Amino acid sequence: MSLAFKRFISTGAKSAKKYMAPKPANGPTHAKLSPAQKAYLDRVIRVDQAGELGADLIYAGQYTALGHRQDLKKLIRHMWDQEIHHHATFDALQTGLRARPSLLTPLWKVGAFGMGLFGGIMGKEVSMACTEAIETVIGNHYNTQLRVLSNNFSDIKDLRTGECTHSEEVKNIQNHIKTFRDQEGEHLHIAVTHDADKARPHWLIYNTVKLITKSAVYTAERV
Amino acid sequence: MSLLKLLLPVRTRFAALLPSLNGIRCYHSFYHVEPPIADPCTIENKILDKAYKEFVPQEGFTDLAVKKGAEAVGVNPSSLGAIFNFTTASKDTAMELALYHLKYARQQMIEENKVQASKIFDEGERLKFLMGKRLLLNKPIINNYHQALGRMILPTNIPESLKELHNLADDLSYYAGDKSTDFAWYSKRFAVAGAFVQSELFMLADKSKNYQDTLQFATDRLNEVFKLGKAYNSFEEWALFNGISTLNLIRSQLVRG
Repeated sequence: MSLAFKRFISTGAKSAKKYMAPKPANGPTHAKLSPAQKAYLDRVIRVDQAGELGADLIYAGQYTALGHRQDLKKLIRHMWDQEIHHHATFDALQTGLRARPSLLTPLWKVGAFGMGLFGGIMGKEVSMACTEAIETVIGNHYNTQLRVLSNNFSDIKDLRTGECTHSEEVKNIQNHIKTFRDQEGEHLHIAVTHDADKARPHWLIYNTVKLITKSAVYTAERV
Repeated sequence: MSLLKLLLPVRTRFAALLPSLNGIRCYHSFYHVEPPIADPCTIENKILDKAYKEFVPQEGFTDLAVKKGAEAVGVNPSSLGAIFNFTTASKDTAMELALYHLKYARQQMIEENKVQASKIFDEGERLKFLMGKRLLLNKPIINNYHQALGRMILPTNIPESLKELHNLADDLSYYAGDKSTDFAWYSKRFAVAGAFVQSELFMLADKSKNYQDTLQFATDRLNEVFKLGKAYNSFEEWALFNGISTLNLIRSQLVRG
């Protein structure tokens, strides 16, 4: 089986232990989550999983179209590898914490790969402009999630001490999102320093892709 | 204005029919206390539990059984509407009793068989094992179960019953070890729910010893589901492999010029 084929199969769900907080040995450590908090975590995992699946496939599409160029091959491969890790992480969290995956997963798959491939065929500048737009939206999106996770989960009592703290489970999700946000920032930097602004017309491509990404995030949160 | 007035009650009535997402299980936490499926501490569930265990075998899934259950735990049966907080005429205690059976049996299925199920290695075998155990939990009330099923498929009760069916299919898949991360998640739960409903209907007329025929029927249905899943996955793998190979072939030809 070719390497490229193997890379399409996410193995994250099968090795959940690597990505999830270790299960507490003596049962729950914290008081129960409110229905709103549960619904929020459910939504976070769903939208991030769909987003990382999309990112994984966008870079796969770009790699398919631009993989023959020696100057870009390593660069795209580097970003793609990181996205594969993000995707695997959220796959593990989704199956382990029993969140529902997005119903529109087939659409995200086709759309993301198509977008990456199309951008790649249009050339280096266009695909870098796409990356710039996507990573801008995703960076903001992750920051919003981190804000909510730190502000709205601080009323849960630790059963042993009686103090209000974040449980390991929520901390684990926070840490993952923090790392990913930083890596998405790195991708943004790569895109900007590799001629994203030389795409013509930059404003049109940038804003269209931004709009598409935002509406995909909005939809994946709900459906 | 008059049109608005006409529409308003329809809308409110329709809102009751829309499946509210409240009862659907989402996000399962390990570090936070998870509320039990059928909480034994609430007064409603105390009444229903008594009715379910002691009066259903004689009275069936009826209002009378709940009334007797209420009397047995020392609650005035005429105040049941207030205790259950019924706000529409379409809700009744018989349906609550049927739902209690579903929740209680689902909870028992997990609690009694979790350890034993974890000793089975194959996901499919685990699923068959758990579904068999769940079907056998219908045994004590099987003679009256048609009444509960009749309640569940009343139009006003369908959202609630479907929610419970989904929760059951979700629990069955999760405890069997399902790891699907995309659309397969939905098709799997849909197929498991279908197999379960068919087996349950089969069980109503089953006269075999220890319901062996029902268990065989359920195993056959699940085997069909696995076969279909395998066929689809094989096709997908084949198509993806050939797609990528074709692409690489074209590429290599282009490179040669």
